[in-house]
Amino acid sequence: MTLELSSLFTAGFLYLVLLFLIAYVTDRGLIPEQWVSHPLVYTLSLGVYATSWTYYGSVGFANSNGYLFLTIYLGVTLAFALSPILLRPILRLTSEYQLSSLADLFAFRYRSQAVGVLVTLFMLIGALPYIALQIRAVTQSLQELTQEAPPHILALGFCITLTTFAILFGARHISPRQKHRGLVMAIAFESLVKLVTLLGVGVFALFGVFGGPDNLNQWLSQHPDAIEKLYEPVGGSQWGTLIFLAFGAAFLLPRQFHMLFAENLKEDNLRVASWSFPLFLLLLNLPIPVILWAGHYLGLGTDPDYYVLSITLSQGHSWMPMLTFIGGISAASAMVIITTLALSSMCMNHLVLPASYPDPRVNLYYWLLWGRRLMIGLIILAGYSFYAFLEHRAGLAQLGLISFVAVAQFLPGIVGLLYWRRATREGVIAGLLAGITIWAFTLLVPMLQHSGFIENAYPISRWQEMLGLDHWSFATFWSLSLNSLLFAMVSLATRQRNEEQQAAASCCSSVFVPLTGVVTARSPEEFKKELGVLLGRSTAEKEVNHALSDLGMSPTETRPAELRRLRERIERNLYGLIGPQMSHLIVNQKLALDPEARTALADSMRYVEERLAHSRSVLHGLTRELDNLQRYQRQILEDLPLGACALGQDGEIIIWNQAMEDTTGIDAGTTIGHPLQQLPAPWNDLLGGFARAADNHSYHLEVRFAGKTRWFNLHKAVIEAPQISTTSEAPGMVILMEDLTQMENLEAELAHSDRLASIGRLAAGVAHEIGNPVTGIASIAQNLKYEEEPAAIEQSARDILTQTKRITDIVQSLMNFSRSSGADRPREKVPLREILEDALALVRLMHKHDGLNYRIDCDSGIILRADRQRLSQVFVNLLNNASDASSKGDNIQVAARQDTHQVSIEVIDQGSGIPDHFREQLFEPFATTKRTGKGTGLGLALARNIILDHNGHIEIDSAPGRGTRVIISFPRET
Amino acid sequence: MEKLFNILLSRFTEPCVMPTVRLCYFPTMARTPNNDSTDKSLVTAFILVLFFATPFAGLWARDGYAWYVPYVLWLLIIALLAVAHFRGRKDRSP
Repeated sequence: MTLELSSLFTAGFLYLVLLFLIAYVTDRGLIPEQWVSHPLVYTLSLGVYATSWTYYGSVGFANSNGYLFLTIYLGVTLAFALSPILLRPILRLTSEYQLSSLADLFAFRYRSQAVGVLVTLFMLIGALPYIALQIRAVTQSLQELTQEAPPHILALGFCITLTTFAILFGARHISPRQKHRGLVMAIAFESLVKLVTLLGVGVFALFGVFGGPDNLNQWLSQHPDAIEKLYEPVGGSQWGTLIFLAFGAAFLLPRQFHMLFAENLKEDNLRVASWSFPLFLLLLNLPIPVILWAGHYLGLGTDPDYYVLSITLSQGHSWMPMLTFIGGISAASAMVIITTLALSSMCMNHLVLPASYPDPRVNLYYWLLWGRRLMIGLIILAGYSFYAFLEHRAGLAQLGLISFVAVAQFLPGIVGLLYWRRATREGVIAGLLAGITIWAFTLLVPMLQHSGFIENAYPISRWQEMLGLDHWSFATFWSLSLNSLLFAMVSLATRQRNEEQQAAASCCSSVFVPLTGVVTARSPEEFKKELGVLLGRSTAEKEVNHALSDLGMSPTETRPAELRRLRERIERNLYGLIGPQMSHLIVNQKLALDPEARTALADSMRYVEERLAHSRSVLHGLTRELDNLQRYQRQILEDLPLGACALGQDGEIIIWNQAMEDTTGIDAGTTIGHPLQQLPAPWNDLLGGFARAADNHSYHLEVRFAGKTRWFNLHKAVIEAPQISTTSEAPGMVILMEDLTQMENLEAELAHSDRLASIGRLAAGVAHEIGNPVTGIASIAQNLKYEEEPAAIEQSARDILTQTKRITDIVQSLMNFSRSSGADRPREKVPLREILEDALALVRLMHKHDGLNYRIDCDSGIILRADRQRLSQVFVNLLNNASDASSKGDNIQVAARQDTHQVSIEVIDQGSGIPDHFREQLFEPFATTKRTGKGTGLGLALARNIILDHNGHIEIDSAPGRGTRVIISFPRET
Repeated sequence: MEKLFNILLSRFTEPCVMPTVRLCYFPTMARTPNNDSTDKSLVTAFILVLFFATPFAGLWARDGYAWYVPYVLWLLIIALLAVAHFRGRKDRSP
């Protein structure tokens, strides 16, 4: 049976239209996001690995080399099993630095344009035979199905269609750093088609050709050599070599790198793919032996590479070969599209841009977009030319393996990139050049000679025979050995430059490189202006705005640390646009760093913390434990109920904890990195002044804030820690801020309560004291009605007034004492003697019948600046305590004196004294030795606080049985 | 399957496991689940190399064995990788 060329062409065309449709509806958002980002879609998109070599060539490979074809997929399984130490670190690097190709990754790590150029050229040369292989597979399959040689124009038509598809869906976005969801979905669909059709052909071979598993087993028992031939190459010299080559190809081939890393939406997809992708490959390869045996069973005389088509042609219905052909188109088109996309981006970034950077007046985005589109066309055209001029002698597997050996040359470089910080650009260039040369002499030249391109070439086969190695093992061994040797030796013999050291440290996940330096441009506007010179004004504006948006940063930001972050972000974003080397050059030139400026410690700390948070999942062992410890300690600091603020040596704020935010109402994000002086009032004066002051402690500082008065205690300590980073010096100090406002208010309430309690105790005395004049007034009033003498009446009135004044004074004293005192009452100059006399008058009322002798020795010239009422309370409390402790006939003396600096007052009694065990708690609230109901235990505590509030000092000298002496001192009023 | 894998894993890893420093302030600071999953993947890679790329391959590639033996071994490797993944995901979830 044969098929019409026109119907095949129509089927192929319709299939590609279907792919367009899938990509289109995905890009339009018509397919739910959870489907598009589903790990299964990602896994299937990785199926681009299985090209027409797998689809058609595996059967031919199995025919000539038995199970050797499995090595191409076992190597991939090995690479995915090593995903935690190989693929995931690369994924993190590519996503963190927006690196879209292997050339970008190499150029970033080795900080060399030459490395980027070399990788790109070698990738290009290595990929062309592979692209030619796909075109050839499509045209060969057409020939198999139509039994006539297809015109070259059909191959060209296939290439043009692929170019259109790649441009429409792969080079659609202005920036190459954006993900191509539609394209990924289309490629995943193609993988599904490949899998279903190949499994379908396998099922057809089993049931349609053999008539079921029993017949197959019977045929195999009759032909034992069929299985023996399969097992024959297992463990041979090629076996290990091909596993190794496939291991490298699994992630180094341009299409694999692109789908694995550049189009990855989330890291978890790669975790799922670590087992699901090998499963996909297993299913794809399961029918290969059955299809091969079906071909033998049918005695097909065609090339075993195309048994997949031939067996459906010989036995099946007409739709069967058509579907199989569609599967082949899927395999070939997916490879060509993704490879050219990846290569076009590499060529633009590493060949075209460095050679001819566009004029800044040209829109860079469109220049890059059209450049990429042109490159896609050129690469597919080059692949077509390779196909057109190549003699069709080499098998599909041979052409593919040439590319595998080519990309394996990047293995030493990638291992060095991930794990060897000492590797240098000179080393990688020397290794790659050696590897490329050996590859060209051992594989490329013989293939060109075989195809008739070259007539005379050095007979490599003599060397192979001498060493007893096969073709592939010989080329792989020598190219990689020399490559690795030169890479290691030259790296050890050369020195890394500073920027290469930094990039090397960034690539090794265990090393943190803090951001250093200060950008000379002082604002995002200046960034735009500077970058506009090379990128063009509109591109620079878009890039700076994009970076600002990524970081959630304000366009008015001027802090050096934030601008340093912005610079870093812009550079990374440009990596994805114009490649790491060009981006690095432009940013270094236009956003230069001030070499003299020292990195603020706050920046280093924040950078390290960000990196730790980002890399937390890869930390393990002691580093993870240390990270947990650091987080725990950080949390303690954050949750500390005291405001904590750490300052760097330059006075910039490094730590601003939650309590500090709550107290001041200033967010940590806006303070960190700023000096204290830039804080809003009153915190700038309060904290800035305290930081500069000589004292390490400052008590009871009064601050007016938001219309209210607040009180704080401040403490500070200089931190003399060792350097915590290589780029920053030791931090300056830590300040603790204790908010006393609540305590102050509580204290005022307690004082009021204490006064009321005292009034209760005073009540009896007051009643008696008021009773006497009232009785006197009553008697005078009674006698008054009998008085007729005006002088006597006048005397009586005077007496009444005297008694009334006495009552008024008592009531006034009580009112003064009981009135609630606002904590912010103004202080005034008051004579100390008056305060003492007022206090004594009240105390006398309470202890009128105790038979105590009170004496005040105080010069009336001693003046204090104080809150009269609060100070009066101090002496009421002290005299009350002295009275309670004294016995009948004891003396209680208040003696005051002043010198040039201070006023000292002593309250001395001859009472019972203070028990030794009670001394420790003298000033604690509610601590009392009095009987229940006699005292609240607040008196001394309040007295002490009021004295401290007046910048005074109190101490108590007492011994049981020998009385007590309370010594109070205040600074003298000048 | 998972039990078998754990036994296999313990055979390979037990002699090498260093005593983990357990700190009292964070109950989750023992050996991280992520590393456990990584270990399983690496051990699987080792088994793959052992079965397919060393002279051990001669044990299963003998005349008279069924043609699907390499596929069964391959499937076993994939199953081990899947177990490593699902175990790691279970441990990673809060």
